Amino acid sequence: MTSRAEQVQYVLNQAREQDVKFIRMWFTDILGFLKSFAITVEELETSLTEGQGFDGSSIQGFARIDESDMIAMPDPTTFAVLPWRPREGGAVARMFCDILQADGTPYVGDPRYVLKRALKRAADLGFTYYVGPELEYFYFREANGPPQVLDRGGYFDLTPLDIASDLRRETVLTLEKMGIGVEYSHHEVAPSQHEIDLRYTDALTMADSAMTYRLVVKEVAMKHGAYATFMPKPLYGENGSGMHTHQSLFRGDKNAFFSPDAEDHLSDLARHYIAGLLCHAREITVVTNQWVNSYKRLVPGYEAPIYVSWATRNRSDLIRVPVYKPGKENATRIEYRSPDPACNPYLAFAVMLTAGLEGIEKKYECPPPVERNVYEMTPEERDATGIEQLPGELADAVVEAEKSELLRKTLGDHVFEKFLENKKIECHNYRTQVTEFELDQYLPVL
Amino acid sequence: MPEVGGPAVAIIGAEGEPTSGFASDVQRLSYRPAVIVWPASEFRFDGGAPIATVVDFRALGVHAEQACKAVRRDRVLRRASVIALVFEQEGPRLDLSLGFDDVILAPYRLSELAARLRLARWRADSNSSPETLRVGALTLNPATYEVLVSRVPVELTLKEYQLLLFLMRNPGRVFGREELLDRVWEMDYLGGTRTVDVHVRRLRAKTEAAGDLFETVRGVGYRFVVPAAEAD
Repeated sequence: MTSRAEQVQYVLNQAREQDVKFIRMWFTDILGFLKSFAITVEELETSLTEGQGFDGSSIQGFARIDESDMIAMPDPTTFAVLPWRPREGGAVARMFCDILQADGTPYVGDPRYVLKRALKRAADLGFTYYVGPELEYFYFREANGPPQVLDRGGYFDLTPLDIASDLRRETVLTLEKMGIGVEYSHHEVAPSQHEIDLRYTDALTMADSAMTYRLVVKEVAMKHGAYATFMPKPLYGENGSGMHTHQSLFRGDKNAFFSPDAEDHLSDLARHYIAGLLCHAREITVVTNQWVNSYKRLVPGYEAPIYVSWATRNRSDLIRVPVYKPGKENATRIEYRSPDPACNPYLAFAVMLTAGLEGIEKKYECPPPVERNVYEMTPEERDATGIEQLPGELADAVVEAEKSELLRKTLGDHVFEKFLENKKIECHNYRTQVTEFELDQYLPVL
Repeated sequence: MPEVGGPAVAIIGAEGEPTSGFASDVQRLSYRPAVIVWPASEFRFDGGAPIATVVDFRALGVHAEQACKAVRRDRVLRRASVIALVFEQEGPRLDLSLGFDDVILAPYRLSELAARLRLARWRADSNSSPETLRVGALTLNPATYEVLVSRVPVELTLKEYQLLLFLMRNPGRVFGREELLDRVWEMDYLGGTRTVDVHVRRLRAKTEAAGDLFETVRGVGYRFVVPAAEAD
């Protein structure tokens, strides 16, 4: 039973059984903001078969006014009741949607379609792309004003009377209820900073899950009068929030990154993949780190990567390869450490994957791993080993991105242009600000 | 899978008599009484859903109406027969719009109670279509897309349901992950065989109360287990 008609019947039945009155149709704009409109349960059957028309002209990165008629086509496999909504008087469910044009063809501005295209490319080469992201975030007392932390705990601390650990626990339970597997959760390094790691899945499921995750974290916090943020660097002098992304390619049941013969158990294919990521890291950073604030995280001293290098042990490099454990062939993976949780996960997974695939297809040579701490090297030593730096600010990242054929091909012309246009405006708006730093430093002396 | 203490019968009433006396009678007939003292905000059933819900009008008086409505709203209770337990003289005045399946007039005889509970149990167990698949405490009804463990509905995602249906239709056979992917997922599905593992793991967790029905066959894939007692 894989026919659409059967799937529709199943969802209709679930909606009836669980007393669902409203269904939220979810999709994502190019910057990764979750967009939603609601339909009633009476409209569900039509929506599932024909999709639901809407005006896309006000969605960031979507069409101009003259081509604004769009269709949201729900994916019935993503139907889930929202556990934080009361069931009394009718439950609320959600489905992720693909965005189609009026003629029924996929809309090029839909980030979910961008990722699907990238996954198709991997599938054509015989690969499935699995990812497991670790999203960090902060709890604050409120959204506005100077950030006030909820606790003063540190890494792995179990702080008594820690309201944040209750929030985290409830978040994990809510995620599990929605079918999103959680690997670990713990207190992070900075005060009031937390991390919940999702159990790895295929990339499309994971991008949907990451969108759900960000909402659930915020909803649970709000329910308890707190505010959760995925802002990459909310506190000066403390660690920022990252989204380290574990990733691997499988060929059927076999992890294509594993080799029993290599000393470090990494296959040649994994090495080419690493080489691809390293080679294109600077170009794709605008997507994995898309805000002005993202670059306040990518500075020395806070465990965030700056240098384009890889290592098996150090945690300061852009790519880390976790140590192989005997019998855990399928867990062989690499961890790409620059992305932050305020990225668009669909686009971020798509660009990481294509950078790696490019390395595989063109058989890029992988540099040797760095066994020293890159931060302690002199600039001359780094130059000698050919280690580059990630863009230092958003404007630099935009410059790198504009030159990138890989990025244009992965995102498609439409998203590529809309995205960079948006980022240039952000750079301009930021550059024209007079900051507190400047007033403090310059006004008294100049 | 036998239910400890017999099949459950939910009884909505008050503390003490007359509800407690009725509960003893239910127990005497080898059913497991689960007394819910009204008002209750939530109904919980450990060890299987009840085969019937008895609303004790004698104990609840004017609150019986509210209790009946709550039963109708509850996802587990509304699936089973609802039996009104009223004093004989109240019988003619009973508001039938509250939606009962049966009535017991007190004082009742134990043999009458036995007959009514037997009927309720038969209804609970036969409340399914001919295609209903049943393994131990787990049932799947393809006509209504319902999956129950000990009569408690299990919420499955579409793919979890489709995978379970496929495996239950082919019990005892070993399937490779690739094959399951081909048979259950769409042709253009871009996730890989690990996805099958994720779904089996979730199915295991959600149907845990029915025992582990999914055997991992190392190096091959999965097999839906037929409990020894049911395999011919």
